[in-house]
Amino acid sequence: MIFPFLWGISTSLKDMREVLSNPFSIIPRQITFINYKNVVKSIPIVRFFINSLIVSITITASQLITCSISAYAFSRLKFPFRDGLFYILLGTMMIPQHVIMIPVYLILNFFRLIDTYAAMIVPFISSAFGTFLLRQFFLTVPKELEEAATLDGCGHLRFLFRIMIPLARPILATLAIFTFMWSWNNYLWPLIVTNRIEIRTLQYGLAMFKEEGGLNWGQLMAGTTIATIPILILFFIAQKQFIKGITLTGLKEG
Amino acid sequence: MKIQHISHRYWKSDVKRAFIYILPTYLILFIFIIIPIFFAFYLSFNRWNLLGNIKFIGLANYKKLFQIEEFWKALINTFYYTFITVPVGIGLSLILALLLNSKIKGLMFYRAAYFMPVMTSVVASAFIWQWIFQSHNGILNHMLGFVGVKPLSWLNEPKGIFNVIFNSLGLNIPGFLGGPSVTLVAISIMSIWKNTGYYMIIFLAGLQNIPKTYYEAAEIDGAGPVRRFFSITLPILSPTTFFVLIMSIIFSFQVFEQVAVTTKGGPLNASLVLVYFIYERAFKFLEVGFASSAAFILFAIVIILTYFQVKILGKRVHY
Repeated sequence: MIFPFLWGISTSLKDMREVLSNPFSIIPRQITFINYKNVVKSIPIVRFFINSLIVSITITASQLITCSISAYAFSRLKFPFRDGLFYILLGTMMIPQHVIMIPVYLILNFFRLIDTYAAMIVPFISSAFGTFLLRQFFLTVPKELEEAATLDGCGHLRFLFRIMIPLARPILATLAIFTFMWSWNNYLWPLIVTNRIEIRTLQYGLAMFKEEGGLNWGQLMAGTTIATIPILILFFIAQKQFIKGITLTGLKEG
Repeated sequence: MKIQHISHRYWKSDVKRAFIYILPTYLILFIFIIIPIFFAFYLSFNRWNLLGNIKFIGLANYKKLFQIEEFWKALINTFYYTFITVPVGIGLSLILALLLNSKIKGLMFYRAAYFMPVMTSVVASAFIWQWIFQSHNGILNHMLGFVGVKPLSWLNEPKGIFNVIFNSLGLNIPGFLGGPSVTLVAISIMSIWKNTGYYMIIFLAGLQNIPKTYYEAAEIDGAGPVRRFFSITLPILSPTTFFVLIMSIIFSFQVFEQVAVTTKGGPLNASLVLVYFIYERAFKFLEVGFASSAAFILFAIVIILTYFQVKILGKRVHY
């Protein structure tokens, strides 16, 4: 399971001659960072990295806010059509992205958003899944807490941000991690809605350079390592949340 | 009376508030999921190349789908891919979960190691596997060489896997028994590697929910480990297994990125899958209506699978 990674990383640390002459050994005869240097020099990988950060962080942050607020409404407020609206929300979770990618492209095109950061971000600034996940958690918070807060003159939004959200920190962390991972690794969406090199994300940018034959194996593996490291760091910081997120939800980004 | 009046007023102000709170989420869902699904349905009955007028043509797109060979190829390949990745993936992840469920040292390490491919992007894993699958200098061919297997060009071989195996034994079998192309098998291997850790975690959670007392009781009754597995573990785990089964079928029907990054459906459509077919028709050939009809075939398949999942799992909650 882990060997492909080790080969990938070790290939990235070998110079060109060793990649060809000694391809299979995991420990390079001589460790060199020349591939990393070259990949930064020959393609705008730093730019791609920053683009990926912009897109992923914006999506993650806005989902945390919009989903918390709508989940609060579903778990704490009474309003007409509440259950009907909630079923619609659940229903949208069953629609695969690939089925609607054509109309979504056309809609973004209609708003003249193709080839902008917004095209990669706006469709994902809220999600049915996040709302659902947080609602389930909010329902478990005892009603008495809210009554006490209301008696103390605490409004809805203040109650949400002062009490509910701090309580929901583990579940918010789970949502944040999965949303970030999903948007960081996303390839399909940038592929469909962007053309300009300057706004390409890391995944799409690397794939394009691979296709155009602009990189050798050592450089490619260096790029791959750079693209994977943020997620690995995230995983080691928050391993528990990852595991919990999966077992709680059966969520996956196919 | 008075109290009732107050609570009624609260309720009224809550309504306005509630609609404001859910507005951002519903705007997004409405514009980017609900409208698109109806729009896609509408498009599937029309001919449109994005530039000219939309022309209503009834069921012609669907008829055309089943007439062209390429769509059948995509459909068959997607089924092949499902038949390979789902059983192997479930078997492997269940075995790994069983191994990790026993109290071994370094559980955290193993769990992390198996989970790493899940977190890695498809693009990154595709690069690594392309390196492994290289026909010259590729490590897989190198290792197979030790057991006397001739080098294969894994990602560029349209011949069926059974053809290749039987040919190497000096036998010829008819083309239709050739099975999935070598390239499709290679892509399946890549996907299995990437997804096994994910299903393993779900199985692991299911295993940890089985009360230890069941095993203790069985042990006292003299049941061996194999008997315990088939009489306790497997039956109790069956809802989890069913859940994983349907999920992995649904996901395998949507396979796209692996193909888009490595082979682009080639060689000779040997790895063409349903979603890649949709993508190519829509965004390369601009046959938007036609592509939408293929998208709706996919949607129908997914909905049927989801229906079974909901129906059979009933009220069992996984969240």
